Amino acid sequence: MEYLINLAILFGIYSMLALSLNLLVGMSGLVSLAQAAFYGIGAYATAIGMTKLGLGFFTTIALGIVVNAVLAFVVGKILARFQGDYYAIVSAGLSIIVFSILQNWKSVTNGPLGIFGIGKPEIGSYAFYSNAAFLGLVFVFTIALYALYQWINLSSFGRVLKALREDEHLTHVMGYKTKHYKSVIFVLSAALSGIAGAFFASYIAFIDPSSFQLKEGIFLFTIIIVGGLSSARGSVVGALILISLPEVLRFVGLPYETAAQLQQMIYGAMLLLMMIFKPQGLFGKYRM
Amino acid sequence: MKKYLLALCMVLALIACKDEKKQTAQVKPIIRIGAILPLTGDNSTVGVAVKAGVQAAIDDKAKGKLKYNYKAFFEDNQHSPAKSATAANKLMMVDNSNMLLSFTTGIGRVVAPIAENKEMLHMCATLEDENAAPMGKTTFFQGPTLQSYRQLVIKALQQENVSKLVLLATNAGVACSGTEALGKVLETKGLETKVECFNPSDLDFRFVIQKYLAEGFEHFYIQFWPPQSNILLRQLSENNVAPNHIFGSGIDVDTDTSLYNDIHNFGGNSGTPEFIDHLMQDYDVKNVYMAASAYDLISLAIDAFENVKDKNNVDELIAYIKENATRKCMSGDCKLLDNGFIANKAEWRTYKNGKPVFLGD
Repeated sequence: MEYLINLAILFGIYSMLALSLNLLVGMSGLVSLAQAAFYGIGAYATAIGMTKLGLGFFTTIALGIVVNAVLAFVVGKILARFQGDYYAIVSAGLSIIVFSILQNWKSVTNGPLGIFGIGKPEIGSYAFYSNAAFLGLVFVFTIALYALYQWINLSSFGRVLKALREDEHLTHVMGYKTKHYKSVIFVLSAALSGIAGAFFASYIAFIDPSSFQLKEGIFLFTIIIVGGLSSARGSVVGALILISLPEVLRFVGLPYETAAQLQQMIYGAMLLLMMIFKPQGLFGKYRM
Repeated sequence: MKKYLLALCMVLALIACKDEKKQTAQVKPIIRIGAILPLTGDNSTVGVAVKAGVQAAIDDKAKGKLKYNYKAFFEDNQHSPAKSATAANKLMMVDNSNMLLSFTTGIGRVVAPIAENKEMLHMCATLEDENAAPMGKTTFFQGPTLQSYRQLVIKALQQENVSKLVLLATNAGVACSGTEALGKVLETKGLETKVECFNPSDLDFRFVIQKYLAEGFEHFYIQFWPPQSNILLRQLSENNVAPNHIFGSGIDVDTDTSLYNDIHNFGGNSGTPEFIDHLMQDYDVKNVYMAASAYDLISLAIDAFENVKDKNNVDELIAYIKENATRKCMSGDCKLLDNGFIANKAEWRTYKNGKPVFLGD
């Protein structure tokens, strides 16, 4: 049971990340690989806030949101100038820059040695020490993000984002300030992924820059592609599949000597087959 | 006919009963050892060696008379903290492991609180830096200390009459900070040193090599992991840096050990020549780096399980380990430090025809 709770916590964290990324990629059509960077900043805000500054968990969530929002606002101004592949490349560059800062700003981030001893959330005298309680808290935030996604999806703001996704020039001609919309959704997406980072840091209790590399951004991208772009349900189901599939493969009776390697191959093959037969993802409303 | 059949049935029943009794006598309780290792992806060459070290310790101990049977369960973590957490939980909750083993300081720090929460013995084979690995209540780390590394490097450099040295390191783990500290120590010993750290994604070192060769530096100290270490070794070779002018720390971890012929390497102790042959021949391991540390930790854990009254009492296990961790071990002399780090000696070795040759410790 404890093992399933552990998986459910990771599923919740990755669902939050997928929902925040799908706001940007699925709803707005902006291909960003920078999500791991904002995820990392959120995690480091919690790690540094709790271990060095003595802040509470929920204060560090707010700190991570603010730091991410400010950074995303500045970077978003630059990114808003780009479209399509160029947007993806520049966002990948941002991910690499943030990783390098986490890796090299040793006085603050402790560099490659990482930060350990990160505490658990507390509300008043109640501490979320047990995994079951922590899971409950993760799910509360996941549901809140899901609801926020759906609200944006149905709002006039969401409709403009979808128009921007379909034809940016036409949307601009219709009188909408597309750069402004692109900046706002980028800031919102970055700020929300910081929440997932905070939960990750608190749950694992140790973070180092290796968890927030560009490849993590690609993994998040895979989640929303498999689940389906522009779909809240797709984000959650994508996270469920990509988090649970490697774990399910641990139970397949593979030969002892090569089990780890075969698990990787089966995992890759299943993703490949899924993309061949369901290229728009499981619940995708939009295909890149 | 019925009589014969009845007699046959009775005989078969007796044999079955006899076999059952024999089996019951032979079946011993199983102690499950859960190991979380990088078996694919980054650092998997070392993960495979550590896996062999674990299995060798179990097999070697099984040659003696034991109260329990020991079985290892291996889970791949791809050297990722998140995957290590799920692997640790799976090993504890699904496989009902009696203890956990992890590899590298960062992963050890992820697993330590999980094991502690369940009051389970946890051991971690690590690379260096005793200060980076403070003991949890149920966790022990083992590896060579930074101090032992440094002393050995200084000894080797003095023996080879090196006066100018370029130190190149990757910015991962303690590699860069350790190399910078080493550079400062070497300066106090009268050596002229230059230190450069690279990001783990950097793969072209030729400009730096040529720059320092032009400045009259002939000796290089490098601290990287594959694939960076292999690429750097090839680029040093391309620039005609002689292998015996290269001093590497922890770089000899790849399966193609011919890469390390004639270079000076400092790393975790790889054990006796007999142990190296044992692993290479019986477990088909191409490189035994870190296997000795894992072998030591598992051997110590097995001794603990065999000698305590209650195998499920973690306090008894911890007390036994604290009492017996300072001992002669496969990695040389093992010594328990105050913070729970089991220090073993670093080793200076070179390679001849792809086989490690001991030079000093």
